[in-house]
Amino acid sequence: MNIYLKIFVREIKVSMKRWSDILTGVIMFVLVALIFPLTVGSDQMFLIKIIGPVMLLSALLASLISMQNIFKPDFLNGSLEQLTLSHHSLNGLVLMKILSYWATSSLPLVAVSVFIASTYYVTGTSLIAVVITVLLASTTLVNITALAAALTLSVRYPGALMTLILFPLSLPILIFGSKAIEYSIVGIDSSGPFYFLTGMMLLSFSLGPIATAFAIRISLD
Amino acid sequence: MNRNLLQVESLELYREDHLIFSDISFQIESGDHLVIRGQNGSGKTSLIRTICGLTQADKGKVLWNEASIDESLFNYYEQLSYLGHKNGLIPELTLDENLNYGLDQTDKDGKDQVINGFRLTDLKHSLIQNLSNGESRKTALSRVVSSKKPLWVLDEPYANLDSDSISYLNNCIGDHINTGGIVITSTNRDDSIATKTTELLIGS
Repeated sequence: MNIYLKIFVREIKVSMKRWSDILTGVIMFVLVALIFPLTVGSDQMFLIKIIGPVMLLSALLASLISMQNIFKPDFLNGSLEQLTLSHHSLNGLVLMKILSYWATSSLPLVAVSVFIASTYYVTGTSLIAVVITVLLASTTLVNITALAAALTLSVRYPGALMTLILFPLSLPILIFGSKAIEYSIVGIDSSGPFYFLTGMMLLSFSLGPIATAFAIRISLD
Repeated sequence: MNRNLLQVESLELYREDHLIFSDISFQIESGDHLVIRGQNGSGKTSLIRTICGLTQADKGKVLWNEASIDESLFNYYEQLSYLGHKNGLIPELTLDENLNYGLDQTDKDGKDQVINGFRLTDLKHSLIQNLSNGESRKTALSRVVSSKKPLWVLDEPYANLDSDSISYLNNCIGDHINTGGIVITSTNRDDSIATKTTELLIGS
């Protein structure tokens, strides 16, 4: 089996064993996103107005709560060290780790967002827009959180530092994601924000793994 | 196996203005087993990590077959199998999975033979988190021994091992250097070391 595929399969397998970590992120996402329709009641206009920022903020909080799990366990048990000592490209191996982390942390959010959006009275094409926005935004966020996690690996209590790195980098995603959802619900041409989100996602996948691999090497020094 | 040569030239390492070691030079080639001896805290692990390129030295360099490892890192890592203080095993996977999902190419027969040698065959399908410290250590050593790489760098390989495993490991090291491999180990003990070694004493 190709080595990169092998690492991807291994990471998925390990994530499945650490299923409570996956669940923590999903629960966080559901709790934050559901609290509004539950407390505000059936004020449809208001809910439609806030669904964009709420969805993206919930996704951000979910990734914040689970971001420690991407590299920290491997850092502690020494398998990250072994990864950097491989004669295969560390960028490629890190990309595989990020992809598997995406599959186990972001994809569940995308699936759940379908149900959450319906509690906000969002249906039809607007629902598709919400799901695509969550998909694009959470995929970009995975790369940003991976970088923040790698930069703070050797810090004993990295919570505050991680948040400080994560928030400014994720702000554009939050703003444009909210706009993409709002425009598509109101019926304005939303292609602008969607192009931006897609561009950010591609940028994060092309530069993210390289920067993350570099940060891992520094953290291990 | 090709002849290989590892040269270390006047290495010096500081950690937060504190000198860990300085002016360390040696040269070893195929068939050599270098033992790094020193007290706790004398810098054995730092030296080993520097040799592996995990830590950047403040001065000096490490050369593999006369090329600086910084310039040909992948080439060097293709030849290097390292075991540090941490075993590098994933606790949620079984012993067998850990060895199969490793990054090194191993042949199945060789791997089974090593697992058998370390008396781990019955534990093949146990999760690493359920193994004892000694058993985990042996699993990690099995990975190195079955890796078919010419350079083994082992940091305190004898820690947690029982006497049977120590003698099996010594046999493996002996076989490896007899077939043209290079082994570097570190230890703070006088016993349990394989024969035919070169020694490097660090620290005061």
